[in-house]
Amino acid sequence: MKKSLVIVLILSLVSMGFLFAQAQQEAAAGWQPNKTITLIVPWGAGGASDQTARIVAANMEPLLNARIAVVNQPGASGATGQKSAFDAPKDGYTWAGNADASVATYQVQALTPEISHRDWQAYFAIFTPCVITVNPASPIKDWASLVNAFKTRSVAVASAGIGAGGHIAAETFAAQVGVKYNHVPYGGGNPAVVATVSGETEVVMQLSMEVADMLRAGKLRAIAVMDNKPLNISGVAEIPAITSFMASFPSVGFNFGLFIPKAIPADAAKAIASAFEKAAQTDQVKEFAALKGSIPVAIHGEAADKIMDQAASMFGWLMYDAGVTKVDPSTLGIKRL
Amino acid sequence: MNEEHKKTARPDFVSSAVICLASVVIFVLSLAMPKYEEWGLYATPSLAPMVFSITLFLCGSMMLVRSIIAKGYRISFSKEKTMTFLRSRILKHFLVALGFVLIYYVFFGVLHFVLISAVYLFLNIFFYRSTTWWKALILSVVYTGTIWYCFNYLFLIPLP
Amino acid sequence: MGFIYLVQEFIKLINLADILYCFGAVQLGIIFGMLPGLTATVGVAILTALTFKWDPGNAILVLIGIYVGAIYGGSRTAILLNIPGTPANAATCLDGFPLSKTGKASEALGLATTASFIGSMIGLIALSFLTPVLANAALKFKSYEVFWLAVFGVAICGNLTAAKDPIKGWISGIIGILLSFVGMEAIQGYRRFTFGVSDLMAGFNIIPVLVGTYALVEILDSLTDVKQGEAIAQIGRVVPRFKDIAANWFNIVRSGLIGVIIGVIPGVGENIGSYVAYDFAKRASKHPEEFGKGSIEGLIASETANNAVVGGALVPVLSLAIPGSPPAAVLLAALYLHNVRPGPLLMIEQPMYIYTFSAMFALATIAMFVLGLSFVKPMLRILRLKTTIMMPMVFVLCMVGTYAIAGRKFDLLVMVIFGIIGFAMRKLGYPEAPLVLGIILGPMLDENLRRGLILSHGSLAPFFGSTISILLIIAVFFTLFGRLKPVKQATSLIFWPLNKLIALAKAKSGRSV
Repeated sequence: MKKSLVIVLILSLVSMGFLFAQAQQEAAAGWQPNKTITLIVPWGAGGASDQTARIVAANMEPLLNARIAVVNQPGASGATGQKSAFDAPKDGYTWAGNADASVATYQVQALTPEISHRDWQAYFAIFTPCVITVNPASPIKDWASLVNAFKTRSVAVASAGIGAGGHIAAETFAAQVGVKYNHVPYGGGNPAVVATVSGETEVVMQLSMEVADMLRAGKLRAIAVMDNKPLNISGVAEIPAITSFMASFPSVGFNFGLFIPKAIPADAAKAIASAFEKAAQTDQVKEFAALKGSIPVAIHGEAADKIMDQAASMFGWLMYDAGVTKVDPSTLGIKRL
Repeated sequence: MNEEHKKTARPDFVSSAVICLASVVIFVLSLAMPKYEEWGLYATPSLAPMVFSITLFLCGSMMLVRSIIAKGYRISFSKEKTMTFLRSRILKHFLVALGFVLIYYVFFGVLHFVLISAVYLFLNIFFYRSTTWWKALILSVVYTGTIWYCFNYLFLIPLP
Repeated sequence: MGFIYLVQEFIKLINLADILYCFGAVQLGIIFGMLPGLTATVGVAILTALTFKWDPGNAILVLIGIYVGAIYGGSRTAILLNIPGTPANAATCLDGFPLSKTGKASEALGLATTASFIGSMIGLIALSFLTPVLANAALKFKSYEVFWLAVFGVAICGNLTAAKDPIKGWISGIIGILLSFVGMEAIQGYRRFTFGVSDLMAGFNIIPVLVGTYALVEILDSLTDVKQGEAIAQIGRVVPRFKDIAANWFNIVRSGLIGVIIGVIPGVGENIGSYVAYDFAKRASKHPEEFGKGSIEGLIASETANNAVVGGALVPVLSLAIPGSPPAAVLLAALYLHNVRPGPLLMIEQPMYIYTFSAMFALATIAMFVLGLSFVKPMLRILRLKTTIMMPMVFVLCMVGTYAIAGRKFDLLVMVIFGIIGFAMRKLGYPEAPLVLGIILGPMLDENLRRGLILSHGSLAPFFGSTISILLIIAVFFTLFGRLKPVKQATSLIFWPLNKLIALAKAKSGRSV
């Protein structure tokens, strides 16, 4: 008697569970967020992607009238976390927070072979260019001595790892100027910058966001910003644009923001886009950008798609040419620009 | 050589043999890793796995030698002993406990969190007859319900 | 001068609202620390999101409270259930659980609380008065030095075992290191030992491994071998005897200093600090044979060190904006979000902030001490629950905690598999502590070795090129060969004057008590 009762109870509980799951799926049809949104940041807490995602999400919460939970899933250059955001139900309740260059090259790097950068809708909030900086004790003082140093000796350049911002910048520099360098990868942007501050490496070309404070404190010296206009960081002398030394040098910089699969319901995408547009232009985001020596932007829709295509082409081919990846970008429909 | 080593000589013999074998497999696998041209051979990803598979092999073989000296290779399988072990309460309990864990894992995320957790908890308590079934049921549901509520609404970590 | 500033800032915090916030946060931190899988890192990250819109002062106070509370809270489950709540408390299990098994649970909890308090205070001193000095020291640890530190970590694996079998400790540690190589490595992005499984690309997260090898093993073990009426939870002394603390003064100071130094080194966190302090205590002890069987010295060493690390880890956060440990990294992000700009500029622009921050840390430490001692008795009730009811309940929390780190079901699989592996290891006499340490050390060893070689273009000479490296190499040598007779005799000769001095000092302090 008792046993049968128990079995009946368990069975009824199981069926209730299925009902629960059903109800949750149906709720997604008419889009007004009715549960917590999960924002997966596929990098460690405290990094550039994480900080951008958190500040944008906090400003979107009141606009969408929903809670946004930020979850860090670091590992494999962010590919694992990005994939799990993609694999979640495409109902608009799972987002990712990342940078354009990373998402645009996961396919070329064979990290997520089945997901193209075109499957994502990007929402960019912050643009941060790469800055060539050196340890203050280094004999490199300006552009001429920088090029001279690379031509005459082996210069150790720190980066946040293979395919990271500082590596792409250094590869571009080497290709444009026609020099070689000793690439020293670290486990993230912050350790790479610190290694240059401590003098373990001489040069670092990471993002302006990551070097701004060290520049302000005089622990690093800026040589040039990899953009076509000079960069102004409060408390630091204007950093000259690299194009003033070498007119043909392309801009190397990264857009940080949110990534949401394009396959989500159209009304959800619309609601998110309008909330993002407003959130990205709040004073808090603008102040954050200024503090970090970067530029606030609010790019989404087709303009963001164009940036993603450019990034996929530029960085994908750069990695292929440098031998970092064996996958030919043209097999993925990525043209050389 | 002390008494303690003698007591564990047989299990040590088996485990150290497995460890030596595993270290050889890891060494071979790391040999197959690619060499990169950007830096010298010293930067290859296989460097550390090779070094540590060799150290593991050294440690493993030291233990193997030690267990052989202690005559650990004399492993006898008597039918009686095996049968008593197979019929023992300990093995049954272990398999049941592990089985419940595996069931819980498989259905985690498939079924609603409160449901599967409550079922897991209830099955465990019921199996050991720790308390009456209705007390167990109330405990399971209230406990898992509270956890679910806390995580979803207070900590903002959505559970499936 | 600095002390007066600190007191001034502390007095500002003495108002009902701040005290309530701080006690609430520390209690929440203790709960997080106790739940297997939920670590200080996760706790600080969750509260960063929840306090985002708060006034910065309160928000940062709460975050510091969570951090201090969580690192301490993990010791409770480590002592009572042999399940470390956070990786930092794994070394606490070695002696805390045996003490609790012999009916000294309340005493062990009291000692751990006191040790954590003193450790935290040593960290506080370092944070408020030595930040400029220590910040420069942090920059001295480059790839070569960190490599040797990691090698030292491997060497102490042989000491982290209850049975007199260092080989099994080393084997367990090396297996941990090899397991840590699974996944994409940081230098060239090559995917090692992933066999095409995309979930393995990110490697094994330390938390699922810890929960598997400790919690699940303990759960399986106690459910397999159910002994009714096993719980022996007499309520004894909670506040430790002054004698016990005084007899350990040297041990406490040493462990505190080790904790601070390990905390200051960027990227090396509380997880390693407690192991190193434990190893030092064991080798300096007059009764090394008691370690692993319920030694008070061992318990004090590991708990003092892991809380001292917190203060140490915050030093580079404030002065260089470099986190010294994973939870400190999240705290750093939170500071940015609240418009506090840690880093070299902080000393110039807001020289007083360091005292404000230290005062918050001091309040959190006091809250931890008070809450820690006052909730010992209700904690002991856990032990009165039937194992067959409690252990499944703990396992539900393990699943939740492991899932909460990243919301990945794969982490649960890792946890279950490591539980099964850990169970086999326990039955065969391989200690689990070195396995966990190995997983933490593996990437440190691998990356710093190769990075050092890249920097030196393949030459080994720079690995022996600094004072810190040489000191670490000497430490490794003595850890590995210190027990051999000729080495022992030679050292006792060299250190004879120093030993004499220490003995003299000890005799003196013994008399004054």
